Amino acid sequence: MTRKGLTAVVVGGLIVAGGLAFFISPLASSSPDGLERVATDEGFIDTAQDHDLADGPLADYGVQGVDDESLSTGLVGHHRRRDHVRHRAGALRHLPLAP
Amino acid sequence: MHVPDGFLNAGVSVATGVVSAGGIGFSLVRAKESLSDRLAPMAGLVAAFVFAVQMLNFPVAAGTSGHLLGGALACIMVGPWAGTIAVAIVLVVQALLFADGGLTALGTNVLLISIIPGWGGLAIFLGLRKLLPSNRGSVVAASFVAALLSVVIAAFAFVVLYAVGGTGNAPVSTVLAAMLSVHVLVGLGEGLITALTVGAVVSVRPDLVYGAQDLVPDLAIGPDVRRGVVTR
Repeated sequence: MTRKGLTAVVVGGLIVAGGLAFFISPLASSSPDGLERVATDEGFIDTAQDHDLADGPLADYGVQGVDDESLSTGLVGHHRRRDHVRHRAGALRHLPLAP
Repeated sequence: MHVPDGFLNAGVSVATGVVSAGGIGFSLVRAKESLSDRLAPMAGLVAAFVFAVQMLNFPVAAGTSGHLLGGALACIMVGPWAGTIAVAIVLVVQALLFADGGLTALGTNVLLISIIPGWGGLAIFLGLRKLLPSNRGSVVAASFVAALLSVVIAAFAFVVLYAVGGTGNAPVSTVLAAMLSVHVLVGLGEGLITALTVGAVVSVRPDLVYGAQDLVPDLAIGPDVRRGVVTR
């Protein structure tokens, strides 16, 4: 096996990272993550405050002004959240109940 | 794992902010000393990779998901200084651009997602490597265990902060049990992703992995050697 150059390793890694973000993120679980789950079960999820930049152009990994949710999410490789606490979600948009 | 504003009181948020600022400041000084032509692009790659993979939530139980923290992965890949800086940059971007992780909780999140799992995970990794034979398989196995435990340690650290300044009313003991049980499962995913990633790079260029620099790559006859240039 030939020795891979540093450039090949870095470019290859960036391609993998970009591919994961764009193509695999729609398959990501939409369930709350471990901390959100615990906070919900233990009754302190409501102590979370709205994010000060929740109205920012890229808030919740969507692109504001892009109404097509798939495209909006795909542009940053992520789904926007539904609640005041982040819900990392890719699969959600495929559900009929998606917001 | 990203802590939103409000979970922890102002005192704890300020204290973790000071600790994290100190940790990142120290890391900046040390990273500058060890910065090389190879480390800078690798640190950038690690930051981009952690950002991308953190978005990929995997299911861990009914109605619960987990995602990569990346602290252990980053520190195993590029060392404790550049590693914590790389993940801290990801957290700053997430908080400022993507409204992910509270602004007042930024110090808390740098501590819980970058510094604690990064330095804790790397310490476990290096300890395991001393116990295991010096080969690529050991690097992958140590990466798995270290990354798994780094998540459990981070979850424990959150509970410590919750005990000191949590705004919720749930008893610390129940929060502790819930956090540890779910984050052992999240840790399995963290371990798997970390072991796969470290293993992939180690298989082509072990010298580019901080935690595997002692493993000399297979002897290569190529342009570098013909020029008599030592590239390691």
